[in-house]
Amino acid sequence: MANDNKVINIKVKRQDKPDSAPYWEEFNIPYKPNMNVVSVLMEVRKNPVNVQGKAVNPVVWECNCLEEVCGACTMLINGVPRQACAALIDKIYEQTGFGKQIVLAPLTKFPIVRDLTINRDRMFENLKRVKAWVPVDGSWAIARGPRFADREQRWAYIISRCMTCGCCQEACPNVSGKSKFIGPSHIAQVRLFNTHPIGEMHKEDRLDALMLEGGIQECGNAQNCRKVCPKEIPLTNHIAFMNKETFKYAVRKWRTK
Amino acid sequence: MSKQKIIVVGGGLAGLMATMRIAEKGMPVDLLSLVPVKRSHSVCAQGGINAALDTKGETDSTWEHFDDTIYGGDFLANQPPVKRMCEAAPGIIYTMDRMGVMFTRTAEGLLDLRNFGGQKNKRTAFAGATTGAQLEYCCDEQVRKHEAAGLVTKYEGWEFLSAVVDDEGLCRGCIAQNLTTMEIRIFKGDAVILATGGGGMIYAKSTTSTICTATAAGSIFQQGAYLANMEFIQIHPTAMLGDDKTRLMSESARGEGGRVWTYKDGKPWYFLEEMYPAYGNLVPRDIASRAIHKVCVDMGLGIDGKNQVYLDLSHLPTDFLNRRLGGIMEIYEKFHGDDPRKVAMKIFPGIHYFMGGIHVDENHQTCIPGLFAAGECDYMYHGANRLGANSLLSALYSGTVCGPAALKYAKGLSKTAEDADEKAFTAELKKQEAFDEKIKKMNGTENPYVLHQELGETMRANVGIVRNNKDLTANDQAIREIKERWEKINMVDGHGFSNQTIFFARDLKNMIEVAHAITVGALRRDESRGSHYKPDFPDRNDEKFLKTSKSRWTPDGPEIEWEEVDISLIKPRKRVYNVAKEVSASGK
Amino acid sequence: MDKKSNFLIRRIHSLLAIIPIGIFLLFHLSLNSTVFFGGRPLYEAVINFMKNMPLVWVLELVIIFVPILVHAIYGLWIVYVAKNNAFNYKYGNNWAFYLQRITALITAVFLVFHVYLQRFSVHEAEGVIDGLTGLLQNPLFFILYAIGLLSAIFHFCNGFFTFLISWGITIGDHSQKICRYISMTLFVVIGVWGVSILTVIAGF
Repeated sequence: MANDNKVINIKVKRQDKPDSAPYWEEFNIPYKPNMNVVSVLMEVRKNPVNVQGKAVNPVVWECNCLEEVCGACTMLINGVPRQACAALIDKIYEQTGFGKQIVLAPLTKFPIVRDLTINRDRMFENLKRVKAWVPVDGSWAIARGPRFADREQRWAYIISRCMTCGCCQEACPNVSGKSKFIGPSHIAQVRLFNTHPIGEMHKEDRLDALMLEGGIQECGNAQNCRKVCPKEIPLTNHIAFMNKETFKYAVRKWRTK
Repeated sequence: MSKQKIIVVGGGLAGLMATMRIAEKGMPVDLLSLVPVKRSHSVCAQGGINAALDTKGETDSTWEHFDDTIYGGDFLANQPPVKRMCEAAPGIIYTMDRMGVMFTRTAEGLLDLRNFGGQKNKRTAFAGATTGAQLEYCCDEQVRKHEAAGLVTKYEGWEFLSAVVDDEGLCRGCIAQNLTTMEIRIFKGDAVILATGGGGMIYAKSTTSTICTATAAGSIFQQGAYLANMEFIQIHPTAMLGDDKTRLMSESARGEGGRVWTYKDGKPWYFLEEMYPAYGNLVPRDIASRAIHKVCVDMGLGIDGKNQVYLDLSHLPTDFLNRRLGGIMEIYEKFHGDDPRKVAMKIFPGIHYFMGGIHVDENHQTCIPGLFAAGECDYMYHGANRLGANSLLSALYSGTVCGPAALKYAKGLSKTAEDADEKAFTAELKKQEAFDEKIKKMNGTENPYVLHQELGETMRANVGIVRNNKDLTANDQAIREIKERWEKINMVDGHGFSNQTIFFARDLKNMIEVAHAITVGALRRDESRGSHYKPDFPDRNDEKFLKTSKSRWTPDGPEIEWEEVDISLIKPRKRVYNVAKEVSASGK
Repeated sequence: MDKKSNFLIRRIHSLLAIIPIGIFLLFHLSLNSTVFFGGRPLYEAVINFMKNMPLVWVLELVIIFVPILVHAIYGLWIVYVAKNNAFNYKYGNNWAFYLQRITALITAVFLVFHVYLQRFSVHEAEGVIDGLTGLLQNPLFFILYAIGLLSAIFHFCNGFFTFLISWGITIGDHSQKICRYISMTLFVVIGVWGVSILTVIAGF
């Protein structure tokens, strides 16, 4: 296919400030093979002129690693939450048809900073809440780490790839302004730390946290989280497992009180 | 004395480890980072982390690790700190293991080890092919624990602008700017640790993240700190070319049995195995990159006539690949389209790591007392070429050295930053505010992003794998021109809130200064050593250049000074990889 | 505990749906199935027997009204907090999630009508059946009534699927998938069963 004069048309949901009104703006970028949404946005800032030919402020967005490991560039691309760096234009066109408009919008479950940048502090705060760490005595070299079975490591490793990008939170219907649900990713994190031989020694702290307001009970099993997770973490299985654990713990706590 | 505090700039492995070590001793830390620390560039490291755990029956030793590192670095690193790093390595791995890093395991539940370039023994612990991310997440979690306890205050979304140096010449804190509100403010601290990473973005296309601009290093360079060995830039042999960046294909691919080849006379030619029979595909990165360059550029044997060769894993079992290299399998499949389990990957060398960096002493202190540097932004551990899987180690280890050293320094102060003269702070703040105003008002003709691409292009063309003095002189000139053109930047974003272009323009200024130091360093070093290769001077010249190059900033361009290298432990010997490494004579 | 938790109420809400509400639903349909075997006379006899059981109001209160009221009131809150997105994320389970909330509202309305009509408006079995048969012979009413009944059945069957996950009984993909099939098969079977009862009553 000859690609001369072909353009990539993007429509971006923009917002100047956290409290200002959003508006849409379209840009045309010359098509090149192997581009992704980040490289398209990079072209925009090299020549920030919209389709009306008006010079505008370049689109503001977050990105960092460009390899889908840092999670910074998460946004809605044609309505789906994903990392802009891994959203290859050619792949999108395979599904929608060449040259079809690509719509970019910020995630909706987080406060907007400017244009496509959002504030995901809440997720990091919630990691504190569920005590997502292994409480070691200190970072000095005390001894060898505990032995850990290969079969356990295989699935725990998958959870530990979570980059706190927010895709699962975005897709979850129960994460909304009206609920305090901590979201799917953090429930899986609790399972991770409750599995590690040292982390396990403090599992009750995390289970308690998981049963507070906004905890695991807020899950409504829509199971979107699993479908959109870029790291393919089987979040729904981990939530089900933690449902069992929290229930067992609640019963044990009641019986031994 | 008033309450003391230490500032750590950078939330990658080095910064987080330093923070942990300081917080553990009860000293509060202000942790500044451009991004939420969990998104720092350390997450991009893939292959693993070296430590002579000696669990594979190969009688590995920390001395052997030390010797491999010094030999791999072509004897340019000061030896005692490297030795201490290699000795500390097993303890660091075990600590990370205790903290919950999901390292890949052996059948009996121990840490598995794999091969890596430039070393004969299995010495690289790993967590699939996302080891950097796993280590970073683990340190992030530990620091979050200290944050929850109130010892660490995170300032995420802040950029370091400059150090505050008082009349006595001591660093008393720094000036930083908020990426969103654009507020510029003073951070007072009894010591400042820069853990700000490398500067791959100077080359525009590299395997590094977009935040790796070396802007902090560039800034303190202009404040009087030295940069050292800047001419040593690691070019990773196996990366994949993309429109926005070159993506790393971990050396672990070769460590696990990947073979590099291209067609010669219509048949696959495994040129690394032929050229370097002793190490084969596991030669260090500088050697492999030069070999690929030779095959593609000099011999014209690149795949499809381009500067690329095959990295082949397709002969290995799928389950084995998924388990041990899953992360990079996904990246290649996602960004390239082909399945590397079935077809050979097309790879080419890409800018990867800065061996050089801010000049520091053995305590990681710069020539400005109270200002420290750790991690990729320092120059300490890798000499003229870094061995794969030594960067995660040096990042963590330098944090364990730098944190306590900064703490000790702060405790020894007679006057704290809080009690220091206000004058130095306000003067530096005013200076930075004025510079910010200047950038905001720039209305010339140059788009900063386009100018950055040009900087990257000239750097890639002239200060890459093969260097010569004619190109380097031309590059010196090109950079002087870019420096002038920077003054004519147009501030394309007229917005006063969350204005990324202001930051980019400032970073670009600092990138240009560091690029200049790289260029002049390369120009002055008339020899070939490690990653620095000049065909006009094909041999290592220990007599003249077994020296650290120290770059000092002047308005007219960098001045180079030379400093002796501490070679007290291992006598330099010829570095070759076609035959097995000689056993080092001294030590043990 | 200083911080409040809705863990207990959510679990109670979930449990009530099966015990006793779900069991009662099946019991209710079983009783109504007498229409298949003995026609109207047997059906009338059964209704009269149930109505005249001693202390029937205690049973009704404890097994039916209170559990349903608790489940419904807290359920309304659950419906309220969700930000449904089935049109954006068109996955089966997400549609089920959305339908679960829609059927919750329909069922609530249906139950109010159903209980008023068949429990409180008339006291004799004869009158109850007459009233219902008369209404069901109107096709529009029949459809609305059937939608109400099917909503209740869907809500129960799909709720059974999510119940198994919420109590950590089905954890892996395989068991969840099997139970998804079972729940949907149950919906079809119980749905046909329920509508058949309506058809028979409409024909009295």
